[in-house]
Amino acid sequence: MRSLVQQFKFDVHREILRNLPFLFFSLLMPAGFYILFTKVMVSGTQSEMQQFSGRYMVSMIVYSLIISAFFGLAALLQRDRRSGYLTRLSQTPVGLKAYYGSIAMCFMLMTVLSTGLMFVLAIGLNHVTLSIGQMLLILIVSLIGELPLFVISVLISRVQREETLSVISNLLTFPVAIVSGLWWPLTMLPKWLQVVGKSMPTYRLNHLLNDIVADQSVSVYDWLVIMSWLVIALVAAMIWNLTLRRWQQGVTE
Amino acid sequence: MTKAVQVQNISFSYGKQPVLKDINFAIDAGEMIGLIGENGAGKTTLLKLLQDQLPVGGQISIFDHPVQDKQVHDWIGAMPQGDLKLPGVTVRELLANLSTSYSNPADIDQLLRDNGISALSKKRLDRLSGGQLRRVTFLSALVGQPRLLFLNEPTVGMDVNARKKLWMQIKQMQQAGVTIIITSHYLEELQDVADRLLILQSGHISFKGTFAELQDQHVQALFRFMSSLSESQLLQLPAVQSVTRLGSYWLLTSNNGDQTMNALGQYLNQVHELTVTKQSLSDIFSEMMHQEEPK
Repeated sequence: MRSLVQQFKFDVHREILRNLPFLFFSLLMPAGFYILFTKVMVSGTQSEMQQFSGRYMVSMIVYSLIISAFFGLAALLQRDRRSGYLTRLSQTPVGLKAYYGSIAMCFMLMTVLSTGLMFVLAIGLNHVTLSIGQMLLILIVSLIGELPLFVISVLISRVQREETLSVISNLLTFPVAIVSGLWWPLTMLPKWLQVVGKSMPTYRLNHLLNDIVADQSVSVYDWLVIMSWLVIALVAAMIWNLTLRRWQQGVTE
Repeated sequence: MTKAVQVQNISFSYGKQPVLKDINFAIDAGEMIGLIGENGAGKTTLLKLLQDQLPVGGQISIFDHPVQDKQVHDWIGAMPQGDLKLPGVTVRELLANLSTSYSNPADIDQLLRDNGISALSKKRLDRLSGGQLRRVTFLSALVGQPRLLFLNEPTVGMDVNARKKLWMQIKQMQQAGVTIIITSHYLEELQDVADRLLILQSGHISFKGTFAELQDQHVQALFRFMSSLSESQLLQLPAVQSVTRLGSYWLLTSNNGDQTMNALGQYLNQVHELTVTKQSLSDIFSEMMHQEEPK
């Protein structure tokens, strides 16, 4: 436990407090988009604008989660491996358990920060009405709903080259954000792309969070899709590790 | 004498690619061993096996405990080949972070002072020079006060003075009882500090012994002189391997310089401008690597 706490302190400093790219891309950029699209480029009645502010808050929360996962987390894991830090940690008596626990906690903290900032903006600037219960529920659902993204990030961080990871992160982040309907309504996309979009965990998370903002009951189907993605990603990660271990265990005795 | 490391019948493959074949050796506590071999000879894989980083086929014990025992990790310090260049982290923070994993951690401030780099304590790792970073990476291996230390290319990227200081410190650690295994491409430097040498060649150990034994087994002396002696007379001298004419000089190689020199002494009045040179360690190593692979 002491190791986990120490590792968490260490990771919070380097990955959040002293990490300008994270602060900019995961916090400031979604916040900037939110202000731009809800205060500057918006039209309609007061009630429509209020509804849009709530919906767009959710979109930017999900967008921030995608950025934190595919850019922040994946890059961090790859960098730690490439620099030899993971190897060095694995040589210690504690091994890598505390490290992975701490990284998961950091990722959760990033979620808390980005979600919290969006609440502040939505309520402070646009007078979106949210109860404490709704905010807590949004936070909890975000933390669970981002799990598939977390596992996929761990998977893509396995690529060897930094440049390749950057390409993969870009190729994932923006198309996923678009087909999940985070930037504009899904109905503006071709029918086949709508089908793809609706099967994305990020679309389903967005949908779930919107239900919470609208004070409606959440859809079981949304959870089913998110959990299916989590299971698929976990199985893929297990197969990857097993293949790697088998490859390494070709020991001739 | 307690054995710090005992390796019995180790073989290892990556998939179907054999990397190490039937490796056996032992290292006494307090010894310093140089592990050398060409790139791809299996050095890094062997180091990983000795640190329980890969599943092992065969037996490895560290201070009489199987390498898989968790407490063994507490006794081992390792300096990786790459540098721990983590952005947003200071020197002190990195060392403190690693030290919390050990049951008997070193005092980080003391460690920095002893190594003369207290001034770097608050400096970010990504703002250090290559040599400074290498030094910090070296310290990262000492944070758990190890009994067994693995140093992988410890002096790469360091200037001459920094290299000298580091070797001195490594020697002091050995005198304090730490067992040390070093891989390095600077063979002459290894000769100054290491007690014994292990040479890995295509996954086999092709030599284990002291530097003196290596030189006795492999060294060649090169004689260069002017003489009226004929080629056939020179070829009959003991231990002579080859005789070549170069302008007005004879070039003669011998695998036992003393024997050849004694025999040549009989013809001193016919031998002029004699110079004798011995092969360097690097020459011997290079020659060994170009010999046929062991079966």
